[in-house]
Amino acid sequence: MAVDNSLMDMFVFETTQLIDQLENILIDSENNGISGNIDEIFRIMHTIKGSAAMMMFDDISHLAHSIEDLFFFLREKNPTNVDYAKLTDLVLDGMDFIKNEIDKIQQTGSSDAKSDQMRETIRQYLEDLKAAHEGGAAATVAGAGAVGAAAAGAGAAGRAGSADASGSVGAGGGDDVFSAFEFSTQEGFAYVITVRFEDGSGMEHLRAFELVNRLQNISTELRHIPSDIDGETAMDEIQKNGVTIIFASELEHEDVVAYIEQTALMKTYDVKVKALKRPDDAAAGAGADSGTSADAGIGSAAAASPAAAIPAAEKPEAARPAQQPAAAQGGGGDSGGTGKQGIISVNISKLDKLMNLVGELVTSESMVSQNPDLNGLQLDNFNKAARQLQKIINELQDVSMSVRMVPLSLTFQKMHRIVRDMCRKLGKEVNLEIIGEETEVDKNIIEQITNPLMHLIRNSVDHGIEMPDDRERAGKRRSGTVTLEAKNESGDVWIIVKDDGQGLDKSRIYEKARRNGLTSKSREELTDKEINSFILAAGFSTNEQVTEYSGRGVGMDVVVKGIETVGGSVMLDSSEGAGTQISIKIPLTLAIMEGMIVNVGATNFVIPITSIRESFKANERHNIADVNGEDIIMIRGEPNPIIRLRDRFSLNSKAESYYDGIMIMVENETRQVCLYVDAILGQRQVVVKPLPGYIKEVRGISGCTLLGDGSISLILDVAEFLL
Amino acid sequence: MSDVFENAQLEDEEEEESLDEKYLTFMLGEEEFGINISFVTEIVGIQAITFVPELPIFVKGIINLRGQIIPVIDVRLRFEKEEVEYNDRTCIIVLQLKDLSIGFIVDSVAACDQIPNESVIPPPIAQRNYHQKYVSGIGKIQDKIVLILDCEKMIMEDMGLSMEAV
Repeated sequence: MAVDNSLMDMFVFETTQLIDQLENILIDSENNGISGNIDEIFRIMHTIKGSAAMMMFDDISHLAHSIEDLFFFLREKNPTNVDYAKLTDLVLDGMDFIKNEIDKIQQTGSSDAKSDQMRETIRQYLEDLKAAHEGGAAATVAGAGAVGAAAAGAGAAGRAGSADASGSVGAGGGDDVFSAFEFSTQEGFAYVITVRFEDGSGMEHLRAFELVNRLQNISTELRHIPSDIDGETAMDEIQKNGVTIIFASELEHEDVVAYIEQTALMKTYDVKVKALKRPDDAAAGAGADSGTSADAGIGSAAAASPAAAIPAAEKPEAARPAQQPAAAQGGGGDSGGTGKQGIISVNISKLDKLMNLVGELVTSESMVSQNPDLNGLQLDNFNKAARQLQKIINELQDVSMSVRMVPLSLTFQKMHRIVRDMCRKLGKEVNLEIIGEETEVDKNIIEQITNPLMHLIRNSVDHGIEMPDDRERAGKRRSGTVTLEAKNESGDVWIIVKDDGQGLDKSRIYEKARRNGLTSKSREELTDKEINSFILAAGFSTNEQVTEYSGRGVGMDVVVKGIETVGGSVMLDSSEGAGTQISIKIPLTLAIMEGMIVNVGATNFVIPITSIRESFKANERHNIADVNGEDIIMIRGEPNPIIRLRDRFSLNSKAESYYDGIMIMVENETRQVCLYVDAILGQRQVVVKPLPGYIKEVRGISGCTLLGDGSISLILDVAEFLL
Repeated sequence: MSDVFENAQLEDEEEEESLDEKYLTFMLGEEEFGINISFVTEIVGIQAITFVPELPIFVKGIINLRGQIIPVIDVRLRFEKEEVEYNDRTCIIVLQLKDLSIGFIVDSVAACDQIPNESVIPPPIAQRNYHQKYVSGIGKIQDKIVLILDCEKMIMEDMGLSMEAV
């Protein structure tokens, strides 16, 4: 079956989000108990199951179903002796499977792996749970016999009642059907809808569930018969009698019908409507002849409502009038409604395009307002209008930029999973503390920093935090803390990964650095900062053992490279025994950058302001010497290599002597060099564009930009000169 | 009903065929080359080219085409002919190959000719000359000969080369 592309996108997007959400909930419940979260987990698995089935990804849907079974058991039976770590592992494995498949679906459009084995494991676990529970449950039941009986009674009454109601709806006609249901809303219309699906369409309960889900958006006080659409018997029942949905809605008859008609593979549908205009009379009528049938309304609504999942304790109270389920339903509807209206999801390529266009606009604005044809003219009105235009364009630029900003929370939340998995494997105890996750960064940057961040977190847990026993011996708390912090500071975003572990062993780093030939100086000559910076060099690992997580020596340099590609920088600070802190500075956005425009011969280059330390004109007082074919200039007693851009890029330039042009000193954490250029043309904000695909990478050039006069200038990749 | 539909389809096909047989021809010295018109998006005069370092000599740099930055290659140099100074007849033919826009600098644009498929003969295999591996056929219009260029093959190969270089 050819599935609509946008539908597929939506499926991938939604499911990925749900899985991320679920992961966090699981990890949260592992620590804080699962009881408060079961309904949420249940809801998520159910949605995944439903949408996967709609998209015909049966393996995903079946797997989701078996996980759902597991939580169904937990919810209904509330067993006490559950190994939550094992349970979480199991479910996380399931999530990984689905994630993998989603990736495949995204790339190839199809999912091929089989989830049979995983389902079998889950089923086996459920069996074990059941067996264990029944063993333990006998005692509990004996003790709390009264409560159990009451609960059973309430449950039975509910079920019997709903069966009655479905009978009456099936047979009855006219307004009578409404007397079975009470509505607290006093506006709009009450609807009773019965939908039957095509014979043999399969998965009727999922289709019904999907319909109910959709109707949630336009309705309040929604209930349905059968009340548990996903129950064992529901499919048969829906096949036979169809699904009946009762709700109140503001929408008129035709609109509701139009809504229902979107349902796939529907055979017949029947809509009954009644205005809810006379609250007193209607309530009185319903109240008068209700008795058991009003209870039925509560019973079915309660079972469908996620809020009423604690059966034993709450049920007796739930025999009060219909307010409670109605309130729960209303609340659910509200939160769903605002969530849907406030936020839309937009394809990132559209945002990229908008960003590009705004960039063009900025450039062409200056092309107009600084047009050479205007030189020497008295243009008061024009200038006024041009300033206005400029102001609006600046604002537009800010807005289009802010649209692309995404909070770091999703990325940060992923780290919980990593920390948890590693703790389980390595036998460590680590708390991950997250601060400032609401900090916003450009979407493209987030994508680029996720991997480096994961690496840093792994490093902290693996190398930083000691084993619990060692920590105790060192007089620390058994469980270590890794802090992941983000904050805004002067136009940059700082991300800080900090642990309270053992810190870096400086003498070991020094030894290793000497052996690898990174330094020839003696230990005393090097500052702590210099020693720490060796860690950032390629292929450096002091870890004697290669573990699953780290120690292969392809670590920090990859992190540094990754951060530098987005124009950021990495700083490292560590004190032995007390922990390590790695700070990452990244720009808010990739697309626009403050740059110094310099000229070499006929070519203009842009140097990112962030990497410039100073610029100066060299004169006779500067000591310039040729050391092994490399020109060195002494500044404040320190030698700095000089790189002539002319020679580096084989350009023609008149500036022969070092005294003619300008030196621009650029730096990163470890090195600084002087770039020699002909002249500085100015400083301005530039819109960064990649070099066209045909050209591929040019070493030393990271992109290009359009200047106000329409000419192109190349953006220097300063990191390349500092190697 | 179905007749009308079929006719429309036929017309469509005819139109496509005619586009298929249309070539933009340009001059490099004495030789005339043809590029299938479906690749050509526009022709512009020579304009300021920004030099990009560390590229093969025939890649002249990049130009700003109404905000779009595209690379330009000198087809003369690409075919190892001698370099000539650009003049007011020099043109940049802008081609669109899949996602890639690229400019070809040529001596001058000659014409837009219809060359029916039956008057295109395969190139002689015997002479493996510098540029002939990119000539997919030789078209004849009256007494004139047009070398039909497989620009896709050429560009893909270039990109492969520069990828190897990296």
